Amino acid sequence: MSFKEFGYKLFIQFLVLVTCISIAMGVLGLIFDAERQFGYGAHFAPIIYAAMAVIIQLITYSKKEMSVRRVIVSKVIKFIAYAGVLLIMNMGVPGVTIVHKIVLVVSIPVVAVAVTLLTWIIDKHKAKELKKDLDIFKSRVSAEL
Amino acid sequence: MKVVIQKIDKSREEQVVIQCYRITEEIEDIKQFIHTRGSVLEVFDESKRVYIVVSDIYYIEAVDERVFVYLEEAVYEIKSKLYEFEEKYMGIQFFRCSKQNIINLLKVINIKPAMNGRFLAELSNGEKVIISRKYVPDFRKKLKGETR
Repeated sequence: MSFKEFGYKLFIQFLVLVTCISIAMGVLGLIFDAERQFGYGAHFAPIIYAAMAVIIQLITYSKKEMSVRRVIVSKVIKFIAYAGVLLIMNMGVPGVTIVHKIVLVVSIPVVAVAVTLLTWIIDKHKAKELKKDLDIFKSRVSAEL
Repeated sequence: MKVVIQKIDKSREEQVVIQCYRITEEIEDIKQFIHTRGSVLEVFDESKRVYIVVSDIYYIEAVDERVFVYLEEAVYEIKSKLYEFEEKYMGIQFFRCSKQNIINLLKVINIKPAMNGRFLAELSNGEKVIISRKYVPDFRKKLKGETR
């Protein structure tokens, strides 16, 4: 993927993230802490979170198609970066204890591994179908030759 | 359709002449097949010029403005661009599987998942080539014979 395409993809992701974070903050805030009042500065929170998420993706950008090993390494780097950024951002927040921080750090790789595993299972099923199609294709082409 | 084969002297160039009333899809297929199957490709082993049979190619890779063809064991450079090879030989058996690679589907023995919606094509010489997520729908269509 060229950097231009990658940049466009990140821009779209940024807009989607800002929207999703704003909705999540609004809904969760209304459910769990409806009385809290915020200043105008609070409007920047979704933008900052989304920007952080997008910037982290720049670390692992590759112009060439990455090997499976490199994808795994880049995913691990992303986990560490996300955990680090979230910990730094929550440093001065009142009420965030060490337990919260541990849960935060552990939950990122747990969710990521679960999503990766699920997509791997789906892709394995797709690969099986493609292999079946490939065998049919090869026998068809061999017959034509 | 009548098929005529004439043996010629080695001093003359081999050729296939198709005489037809009009150029149909079948004629285009035959033309493409001849291009792919019968043709030889001029490649370079450093500065030495070599000729290889196109159907012997396992995959083609573009690396920093240079294009390499991979055979069972040997690797050669070609002077044309990847898209030029694609335009000329993208008949029955070749498929553009990523921005950098074209694979010979008849050399693929297995397909495995490769994370992020990509797949790994295992070739009969043991090499592995990534099928990019962007090209997976076309790959499926190609295998099903929905595209040429």
